Amino acid sequence: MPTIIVGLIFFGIIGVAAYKSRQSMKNNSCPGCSGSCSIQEKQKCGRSTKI
Amino acid sequence: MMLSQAKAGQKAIIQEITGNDKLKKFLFSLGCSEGQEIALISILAGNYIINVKDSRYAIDRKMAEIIRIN
Amino acid sequence: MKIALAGNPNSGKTTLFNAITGKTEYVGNWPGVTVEKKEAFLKNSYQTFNTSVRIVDLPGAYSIAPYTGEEAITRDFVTGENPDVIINIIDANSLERSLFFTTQLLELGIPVVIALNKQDILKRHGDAIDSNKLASLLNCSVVETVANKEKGIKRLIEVAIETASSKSIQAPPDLDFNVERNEDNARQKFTSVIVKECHVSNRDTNEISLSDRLDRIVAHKWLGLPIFFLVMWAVYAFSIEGVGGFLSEYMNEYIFGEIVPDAANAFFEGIGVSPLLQSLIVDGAIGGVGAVVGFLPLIMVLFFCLGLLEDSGYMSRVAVVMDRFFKKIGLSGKSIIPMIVGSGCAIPGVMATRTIEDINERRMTTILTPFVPCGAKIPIIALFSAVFFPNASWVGPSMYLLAIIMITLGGLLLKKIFVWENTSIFLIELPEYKIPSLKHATTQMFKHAKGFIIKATTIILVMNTLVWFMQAYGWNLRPVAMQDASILASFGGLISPLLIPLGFVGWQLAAAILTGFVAKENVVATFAVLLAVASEDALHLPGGVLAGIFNPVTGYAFLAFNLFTPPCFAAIGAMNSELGSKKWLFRAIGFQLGVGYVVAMVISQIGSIIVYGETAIGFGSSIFVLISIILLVTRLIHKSDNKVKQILAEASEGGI
Repeated sequence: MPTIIVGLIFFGIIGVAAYKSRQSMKNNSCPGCSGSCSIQEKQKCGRSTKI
Repeated sequence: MMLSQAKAGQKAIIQEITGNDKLKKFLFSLGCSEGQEIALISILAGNYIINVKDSRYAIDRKMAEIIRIN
Repeated sequence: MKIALAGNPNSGKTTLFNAITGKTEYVGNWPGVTVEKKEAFLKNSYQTFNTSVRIVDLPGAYSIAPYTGEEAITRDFVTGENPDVIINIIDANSLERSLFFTTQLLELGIPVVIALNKQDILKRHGDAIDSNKLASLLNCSVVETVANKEKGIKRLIEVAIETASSKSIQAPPDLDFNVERNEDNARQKFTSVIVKECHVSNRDTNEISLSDRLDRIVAHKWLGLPIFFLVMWAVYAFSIEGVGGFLSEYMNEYIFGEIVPDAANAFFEGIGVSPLLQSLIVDGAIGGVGAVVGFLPLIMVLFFCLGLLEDSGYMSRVAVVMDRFFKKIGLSGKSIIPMIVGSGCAIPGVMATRTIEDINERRMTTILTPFVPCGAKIPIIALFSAVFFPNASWVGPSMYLLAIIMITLGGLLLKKIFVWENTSIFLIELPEYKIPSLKHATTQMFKHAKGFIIKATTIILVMNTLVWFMQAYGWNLRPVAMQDASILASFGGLISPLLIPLGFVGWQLAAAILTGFVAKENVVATFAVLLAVASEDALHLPGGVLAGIFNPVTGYAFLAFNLFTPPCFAAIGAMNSELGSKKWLFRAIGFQLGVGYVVAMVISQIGSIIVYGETAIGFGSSIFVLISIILLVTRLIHKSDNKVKQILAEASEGGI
C-alpha cells in the first residue's frame, strides 16, 4: 500500500515535470529559462529577423 | 578631411556623410549629420571614440571614413 | 489597458519594466540587451486604478524608421498594436538625441508620457532640465525618474494611466516644414531649439572624462585583450574554484551526499515502500537531481559576478576591443554581445544575434555563440575540475579561454568554407561607467538560481527517472543484474564506437553525452545515476568513481567535447529560428559536431602523449579520422574557392 501511494505521488510529480518540460521545449526554451519567445510572439520574432 | 584622418581631441563640424542612404539615416537618428558638432575623443584598438550630442560612441574605421569634417 | 515602453537603447526601459511589473528580465548597462518585446501585468503596488494594465517593453530604437531588426519590432508594435499610452523613456543625459525619436512617437497620435530618466546622473553632472517647459513645448506630460532606484515611478504610472483614460489624441510636434523641406532636418531643428530652451548645462561633454580615461586603459590596443582575459579568469576562478566551488562542495558532500538520501532512505524504509521504488526515487531522482542542484551556490556566485560586470558598463568596451580581432574572421564587435549574453544561456545569446545587420555575420555568430560555456555547462566543468584537478584554479577559466580560441579558429574556418565579405559597419554606444549595483547583481543571481532549480526539478528530474529505468531494466522489461545488459547500455553501445578515437571508452560516456543534448546538466546527473551502483561515494570527490572511466587528460577532453558539440535541443531550436533555413541549421550542427569532436580528439591524443608519454586508446583510428576530416575540409574550401573564382570570372565578363 505505501508503495502505491508513494509511487502515485512520485509519478504525479514526474508527469507534471514532463508536461512543463514539453511545453517549454516546444517554445525553444528550457523550464526556468526566460530567454525565448512566447508562442504568440513566435511569428512576430520570425518576421522581424528577416529584415 | 575625413574623420578617420582626424587626431584625438579634435573638435569639428560635420560637413557631409558620404555613405548609403540607410547608413545616413541611421547616423542621422543619432544626431550625426551635416552641421553638427563632433569630437574625436580617442582612437582605441582601431575604433574611433566620438562624442556627438552628449553621447559617446565607438565606431570603426570604415564608418569614420564616411564622415567628412572641416 | 496597454502601456508601451519605448526609447533609445540603454535608456533604462527594461529597468523600468522590471520595477513596475516585478519581473526580472535581463538588464545590462549596454545597448541591445532587449531584442524582442516583453509583456507583463503591472505590479499590484503600482495599481492605483481598477483596470488591469499590461506593460510592454520594447527593444531600444534610435528612430522609428528601422535600421536594425529590433528597431523594426518597435515600429511594428507601436503602429500595429495601438497601445493606450506610450511611455517614452529618455536618458536625460542625452536629451537632444533622444528627442529625435520622441518627435516621431508624438506623430503617431497615441498619447505619450515622457519619463526623464537617470536624473541622478544628470544632477551629478551639475546639469538641469526644466521638465515643465519641456512638457509644454512637446505637448505631453513629463515625469522625472530614477528607474533603478524606483524614484518617480509611482507618479509616472499615475500620469500614464490618467493620460490613457482621458482618451485624448496626442498633438503632433510643431515641426516647421517651411524652412526645412526635409522632414528629418525639421525634426533636428525642432529638437535643438527645445534643448536650448530647457537644458541647462555647464559642462562640455567633449572634454575627457573619467570614463574616457578608463577606456584608454581597458580598450587599449595591446592591454585590452589581456585585461578582458584577466577579468573573465577572475570571475570563473572565483566562482568555480573559489567561493562558489567551496560552497558547492559542501552541498554535494553533505546535503546531497549524506543528509538528504539518508533521510529519504530512512523514511521509505520506515513506511515500507518497495525497494525498487525506493531505489528509483533515491538513486534516480534524488541522486541525479541532487548532483546538479549541489552546484547551485556556484551558479549563484557566477551570476552575481557577471551581474556586477554587466552593470558596470564594461561589456560595451569588450565589444570595442574584440572588434579588431573579430573583423579578421569576418565578424565584428557586434558579435561579442550575443556571446556575452550566451555565457548565461545560449538561447538568449543566439536570439541576440538579431542585432547584427549583415546576414553572413549573423549566421556565423549564431553558429559560434553556443561555444561560450553557458550556465548549464558550468556544473560539468565544476564536477570534472573537482574530480580530476583538485586544488587547481585554472580549469574553469581555461575552458573560457579555449572557447575564445575555438570561436576565433571556428570563425576563420567558416569564412574559408562559406566565403563572404564582411560589409557590416560597427557602431556601439559607450555608456558611462558606473559602480555596479549590488541590488542588480543580487536580482540576477536569484533569477538564475530560480531558473536553475526549476530546470533541475523539471527537465532534469524527468530525464533522470528515465535514465534510472533504462539502466535498471533490459529490453525484456525485467530488472537486469548487470547495468551492461540494460536498455541504456545498448543505446550507449551504438554510439560508443564513434567515441573510441577520442580515447573515450564505455557506453556510460555515450549515454551521458546523449542526455546532455536534452540539457547539459544531465551529463552530471546521468553520471550520478549510473555510477551510484558502482560506489556509495559522492560523485564529485577527488579521484572518485569518475576516475574509473577517465584519466585527467581524457576527462579534460570530455569537458571540451561537451563544450563544443551542439548545445541542448532548446538552443538548437533557437538556432533554427534565427538561421531561418534548415540548410543552415544542418550546416551549423555539422560544424559544431565536427569542432567538438576534433578538439576532444586532439586534446585526448596529444595530451596523452605529452602527459603520460604514451598514446591513448584509439590512437590509430584517431589518425584515420583526422585525415578524413582534413580531406573533407580542404575539399569544402577548394569548392568554395572555385565558386568565388567562377563568380569573379562571370562578373568580369559581364562587366566589361
